[in-house]
Amino acid sequence: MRATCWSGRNTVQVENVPDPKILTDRDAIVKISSTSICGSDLHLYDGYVPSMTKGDILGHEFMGEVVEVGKGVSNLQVGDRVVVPFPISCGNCNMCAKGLFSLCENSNPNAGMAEKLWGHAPCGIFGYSALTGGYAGGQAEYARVPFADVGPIKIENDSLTDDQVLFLSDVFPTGYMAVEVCDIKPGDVVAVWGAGPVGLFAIASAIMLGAERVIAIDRFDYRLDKAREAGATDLIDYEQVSVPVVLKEMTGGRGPDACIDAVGLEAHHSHPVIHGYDRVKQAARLETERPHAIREAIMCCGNGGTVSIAGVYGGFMDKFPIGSLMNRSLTVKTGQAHVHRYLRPLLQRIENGEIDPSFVVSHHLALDDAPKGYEMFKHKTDNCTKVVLNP
Amino acid sequence: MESSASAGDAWPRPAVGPVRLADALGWGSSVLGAPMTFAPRRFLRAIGVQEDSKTVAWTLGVGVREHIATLTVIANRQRRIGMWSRVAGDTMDAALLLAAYKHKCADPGRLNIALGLVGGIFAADLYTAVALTRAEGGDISDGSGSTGVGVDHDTGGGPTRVKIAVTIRLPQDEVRKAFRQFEWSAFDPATLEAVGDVRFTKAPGERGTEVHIDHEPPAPGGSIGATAAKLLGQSPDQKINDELRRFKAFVETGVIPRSETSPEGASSARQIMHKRQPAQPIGDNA
Ligand SMILES: NC(=O)c1ccc[n+]([C@@H]2O[C@H](COP(=O)([O-])OP(=O)(O)OC[C@H]3O[C@@H](n4cnc5c(N)ncnc54)[C@H](O)[C@@H]3O)[C@@H](O)[C@H]2O)c1
Ligand SMILES: [Zn+2]
Ligand SMILES: [Zn+2]
Repeated sequence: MRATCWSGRNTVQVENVPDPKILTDRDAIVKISSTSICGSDLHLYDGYVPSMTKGDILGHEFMGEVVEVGKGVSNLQVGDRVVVPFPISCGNCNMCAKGLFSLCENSNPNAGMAEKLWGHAPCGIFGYSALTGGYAGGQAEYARVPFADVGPIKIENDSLTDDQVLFLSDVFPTGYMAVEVCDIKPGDVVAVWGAGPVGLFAIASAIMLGAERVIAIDRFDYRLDKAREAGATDLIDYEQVSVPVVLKEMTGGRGPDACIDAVGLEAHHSHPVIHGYDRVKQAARLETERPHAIREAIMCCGNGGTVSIAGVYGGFMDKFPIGSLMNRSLTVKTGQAHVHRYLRPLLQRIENGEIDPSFVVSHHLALDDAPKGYEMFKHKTDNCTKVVLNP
Repeated sequence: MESSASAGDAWPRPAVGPVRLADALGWGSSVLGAPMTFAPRRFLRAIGVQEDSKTVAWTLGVGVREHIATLTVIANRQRRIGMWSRVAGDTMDAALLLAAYKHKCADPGRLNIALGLVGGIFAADLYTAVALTRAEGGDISDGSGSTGVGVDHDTGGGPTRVKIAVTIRLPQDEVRKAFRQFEWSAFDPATLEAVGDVRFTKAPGERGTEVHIDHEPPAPGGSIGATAAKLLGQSPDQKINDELRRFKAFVETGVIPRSETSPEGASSARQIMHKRQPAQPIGDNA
């Protein structure tokens, strides 16, 4: 089959690789109809996630048709149309039982590696480095789905297009969870750093969950336009103004009640000296993150508010404003999304017409054009917000 | 996996008795050795033997031997070896006392008591040594007494010592049963239980069962060999680590989770050598 393979920093190639086979009774094979490139893939593409190997198949957002099931998968049948959540979760362990699916204790065979870096290991993830299990990803014609009796959600409503349901695999639940954990009360003001797909779904979810005002922060006008479309009440271009000053002013001096980081470890800073400082440290591997957005989100958050980190971080950072966090009774919420627990409720919202997730899609490409898709999405050219590959 | 609520009752308790006894006797050595090394003349008076330079020298020597026994059993956890050398030591002590009876007796009453005590200690040592040897099949180095993580934080032991625990979301009896049935290659589960190197306890808060392993498998090639093997992810302790992860996954999920880069499940060797294999489906000729 054809598959998008990581081939070193800033390069991916679509190569011929063996077709996947069932490896355990709880596996299924899915023939992929749609798969997308995620901001998390950029961290791999840009070489900031350790333990990548040349030839690793990328991709963790995918859907398609079940073409083979293992003996232990009784809830799926060949021919079913399914969306596959990006965390691989067994459904049996203590974490899965608590609904913390991205912390499944059994799906990451390389947990030992992750423990060395992080103390304890998260779940296995499709196409996301050896640290999260070394699973082949879904930017390919086919994928093997472990624990297929737990993860994939059947899409029985044929009137829903792939673009409408594909993002249940990751970015929609991710954005939703980022807001849900903030426990939004009527009258709350939410600020969202980053108007990429995760930020856009966080904005839409904040509106759905009853926020009074939702402020979007980014530097790309076309993305801020999308943020408006998603429901943002206010827009901030961080290259034009000082975000802390404007947020304070907008919120009557209080600061937002919830600050959401939908940027992650590759943030950009409008001040070239500050950006350069962290960029050099990151390049020299003195810190693994470029933490402008998270620092700012903490400093801006109103007293007693919640900082929700959806953006991905890998290791260590310096100048973390712990004093601001501690002295002002802030709450931090974070995690890889526990996608499984949002599949049904969010599909329901899509079916009810409360949201049409396809609004984030800017490009459809053939699988063989994945390298072009990565370049566009990385450099935010051609008004790119989300690339969907159709194998 | 079949389960039955009563399986746990029929389960033999791990042979912690001899291990505990060995530790008690190990400490006892120093209790006895202290007066011999620090007040040998008073000690001789107490057991009814004449004090002269020869008997004092012997007393000092035996005292030192007692401290060495404590080090062997307690500090190095070489219980089996420690117990057998105590048996030899007891025989020597009895011979010394009998010789004293003949030539250097000061108080026959006291000497009789001393001889009786040595006989009793000899019996206890012999019993413990035999029990440990039986339990360990005689060919495995001593494990620890597993008095519990967080109770004793001993970190001693050789390069292959593994002290590791997992929580399995199932009742104790099922976990114990599965532990027996799982195909371990790193150790024999029955032996591990018999010497008390594995413990099963209830996890707090309805989270199932904690499995604690504190085991020191033999290190082929000594500590240098073990360190070299570790670099390749091949040392015996890494194997135990991997197999315990696979065991947990298998018991909880019914399968051993496999990824394209770790097709056999958790594998330290793979993790260290992961650069060799990309995350791609494994071809037919692989
Ligand atoms: N927690 C999870 O489960 C999860 C799931 C998916 C993605 N993610 C992470 O979420 C993050 C966003 O993903 P995405 O797909 O939306 O990526 P993206 O690259 O499309 O979006 C990131 C956006 O952040 C903006 N940005 C950069 N620096 C900024 C700054 N200083 N202030 C404000 N905005 C800034 C960029 O202009 C861009 O629009 C990534 O880190 C990704 O890894 C997390
Ligand atoms: Zn993603
Ligand atoms: Zn699980």
